[in-house]
Amino acid sequence: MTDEERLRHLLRTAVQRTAVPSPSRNLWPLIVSRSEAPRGWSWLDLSLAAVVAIALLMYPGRLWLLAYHL
Amino acid sequence: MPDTLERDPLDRFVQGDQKAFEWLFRHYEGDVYRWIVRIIRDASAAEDVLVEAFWRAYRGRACFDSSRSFGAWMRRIATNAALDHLKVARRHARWSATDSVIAAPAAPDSALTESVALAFRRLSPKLQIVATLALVEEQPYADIADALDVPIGTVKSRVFRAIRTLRKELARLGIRP
Repeated sequence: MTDEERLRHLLRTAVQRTAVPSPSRNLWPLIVSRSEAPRGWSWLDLSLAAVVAIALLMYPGRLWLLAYHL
Repeated sequence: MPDTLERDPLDRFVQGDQKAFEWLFRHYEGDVYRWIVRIIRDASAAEDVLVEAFWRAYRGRACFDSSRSFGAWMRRIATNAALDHLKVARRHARWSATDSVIAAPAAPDSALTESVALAFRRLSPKLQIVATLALVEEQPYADIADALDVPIGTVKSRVFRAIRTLRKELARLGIRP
């Protein structure tokens, strides 16, 4: 047996092959619940909100500009 | 190329039909689950990765070409989800000394077996995946290459690197296999 074959054999002894037939439960409801969950704010949404809030704090007189775009 | 019976659900899946998605899920979940278990070697965590993989598939359905094999596409997504899981598990393992994912069986030379298992766990997730699939599960290189979306030559080179790294790690532990 070569060094490499011996290493492969040792690996198969240490890390056994798996024998799992199927999931233990019905996982479809978990996928459905994910698709129905409301999407949270992304980093981009949060960043934009923060920029707008900071801009309004610095230039409160420009509120009309924001109101115009909304 | 999928057969005609499968074509219709695939087209409807791409259009966002949830019934078609459920049909595909029921049809492929067993194969995808077994593939994930082979990679991450944890039956319970594999269920979470399976849900994540199918969820990613549903979100990315617009990128799927319905004239191609859904099984191969799904296996690729599952492999990426499993790789992400291994990366997270590896980060957590740095904080806790124990690792319950791979249970070393009782063997005549248990110290040697434990050392090999330890060296295996220290492989990077990318090398661990190819080592598991090629050396332990003995999957064809072509299947591994397809699942990882890399050429067969890359799989061969990663297997070679995994063996070399394992040998180095074992030498560091004072074992010469």
